Amino acid sequence: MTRVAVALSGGVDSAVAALRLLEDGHEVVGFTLKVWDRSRCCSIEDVEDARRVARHLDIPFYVLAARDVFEREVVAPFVAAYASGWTPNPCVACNRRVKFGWLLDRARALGCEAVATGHYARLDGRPGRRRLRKGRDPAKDQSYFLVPGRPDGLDAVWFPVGGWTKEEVRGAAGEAGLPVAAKAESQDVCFVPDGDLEGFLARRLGPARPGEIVDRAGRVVGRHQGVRAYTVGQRRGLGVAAREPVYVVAKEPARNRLVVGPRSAATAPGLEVSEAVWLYPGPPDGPVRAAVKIRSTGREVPCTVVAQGNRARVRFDAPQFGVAPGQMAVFYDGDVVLGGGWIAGPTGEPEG
Amino acid sequence: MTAPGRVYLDWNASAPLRPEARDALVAALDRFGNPSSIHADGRAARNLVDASRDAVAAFMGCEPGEVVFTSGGTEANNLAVHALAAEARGRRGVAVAGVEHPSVLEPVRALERAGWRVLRLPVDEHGRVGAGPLPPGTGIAALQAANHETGARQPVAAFADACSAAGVGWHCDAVQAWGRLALRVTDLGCSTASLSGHKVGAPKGVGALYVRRGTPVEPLLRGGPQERSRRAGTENVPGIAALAAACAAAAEDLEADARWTAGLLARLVAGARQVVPHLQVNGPPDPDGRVPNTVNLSVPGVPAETVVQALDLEGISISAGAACGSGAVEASPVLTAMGLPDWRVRSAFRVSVGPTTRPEDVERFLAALGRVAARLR
Repeated sequence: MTRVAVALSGGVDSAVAALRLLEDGHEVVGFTLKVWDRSRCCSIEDVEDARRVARHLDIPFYVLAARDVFEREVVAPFVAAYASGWTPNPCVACNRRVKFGWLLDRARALGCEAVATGHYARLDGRPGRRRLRKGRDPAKDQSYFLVPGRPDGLDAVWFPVGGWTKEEVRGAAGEAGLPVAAKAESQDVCFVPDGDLEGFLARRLGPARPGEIVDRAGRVVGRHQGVRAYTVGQRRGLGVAAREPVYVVAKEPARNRLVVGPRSAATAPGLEVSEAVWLYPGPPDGPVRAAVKIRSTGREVPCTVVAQGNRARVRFDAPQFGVAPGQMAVFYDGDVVLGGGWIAGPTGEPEG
Repeated sequence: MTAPGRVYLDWNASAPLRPEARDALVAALDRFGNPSSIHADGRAARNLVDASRDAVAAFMGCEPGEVVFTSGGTEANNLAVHALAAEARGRRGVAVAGVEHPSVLEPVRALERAGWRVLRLPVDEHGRVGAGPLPPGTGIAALQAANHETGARQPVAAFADACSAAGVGWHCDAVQAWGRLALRVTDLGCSTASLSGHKVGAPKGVGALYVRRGTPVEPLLRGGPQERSRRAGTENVPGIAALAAACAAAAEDLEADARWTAGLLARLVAGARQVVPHLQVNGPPDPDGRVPNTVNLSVPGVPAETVVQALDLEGISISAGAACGSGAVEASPVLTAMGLPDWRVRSAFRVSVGPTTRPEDVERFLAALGRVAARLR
């Protein structure tokens, strides 16, 4: 019998993950991370839901005060990324550093051999030869968020519901009488109250600084409300009068400028990846054919990738729109994740 | 009874129900009359409450009329601070140390919001509050008899003298001292003193406040003449009966319990030093400086939360820091107020034993602590 830690979010996926581990004969310990809520003392509803799940499954349950580590590993880098003009992905940092890092350490101290979560992705191969694959439910696949920070970063991680569809998970929850079977999906950035990103950033970075919107020739064509509020590829809310629709092409936080252009100008033939991580069997020797996913909501597109130390260069088969620095680029071969890293920026001259 | 197979070493959080309290509780459940009713059913309940008041007064060392039954220690502490503040004329300063229980500190904070000045009493590195002359401007004061986390015994006699010299009424939170130290409120010289039922083997939901004769009490709960209009609401008759039974049993066993628990902890600390190199004792290093059943320890480099959880999975119940509403462990404000370095505050956990703790429970604790320490090293 293996003792396994389950990160219970209070949602249905992690509840069913715990249920599956119990059915497989493991000793399961539930954890909920209290990562935020600095002002009031606790009592978040999600924590109560997680406790209810643990009670229903009759497993030990602990709430961990994880504010410090969450601030250090997720929130501070998130804020810093916005300050330097990036569009960060805090979920990736949270998975890597908090759930599969800090929590795993805590769980190991309690004799747990692994951390399990309710993510929709599959893992196979033994430690040292771990491969990450898409979840079986194509609509729910979360592999994009789960690329580890090191090749061995998933050696002690389990995804018990990765081989299930959401429908099956809900069905299992209902059958087991789990109290969260009908719970709605979580969304947005969990630590930004009411989804008010600008308000959150204003509290951290000071009020937004309005500035100039320029076209690619440097002509002033409008005013922006602070560059951090915009993402490369964004069209709405620019307030620029032009004959054809204009898009954010680049952010220049140092000059407090936003560069706009036609759709073709926000399109790139490739991208550069920093802090690239290659899962088993490791980085390819030469150019490799892959499909790359460059934002969490997008589909992956065919490309050729070249690994260059801890960086990688991607050339799309067809130019892609809206390459946003700070998001993840994840490389797939079919449903197998080859690796991934942070988008440092587009490469080559945009068309047009 | 503790859950089968488990070792319960968290008596300061809550003590197991004493058999005498259980019997009294069950018997009183059928005294369903309202003690305020005139008829025989009411009188039967009233008589039980009165007899219980006599027993609790004997235990606390005061007159029956000086006992106000409450819902527990928290209400008793709130009521005391509220009552003393309402009667303190002129000097609007409240002298209190940071090691007090939140049920004292939070009402004090409420006074602060109402314009009072909080005058912090000094605390040394062992958690002992300085009992020198009171700060100028003190109108009311509070000092616990023993600390809930470290077990530190506070200098209540010297503090009583200081309060008397300044003409200041003071409250003694004695919740963690009853049944562990020979304590009589009339000897303490305080205006008010609190007692919590479930710390002495009564059920949760009942407690008492000693209020020295002649001390007016501005009630927190209004709406009835119960408790001489100091605390409205129909009496918790079964809880009160159980409290009286628990107090009587605790008084009888006091000396034997103190010797027994002190012996268990001496073995526990000596054994823990052997399995954990560089083990730290937080609070008074000398056992005589603490209540006999409580010790606070640190395993260097290991968060207390982890020690508590790891021991829980080994079947052993201890506690750490301040529990917050979500169940997460927050850094202990007591140890922070003692000025201890952050690593010690974060690694501090509390072991508290009681009369029914057995030597083999201590040995199981030590074996489990050894296993956990080895894994964490």
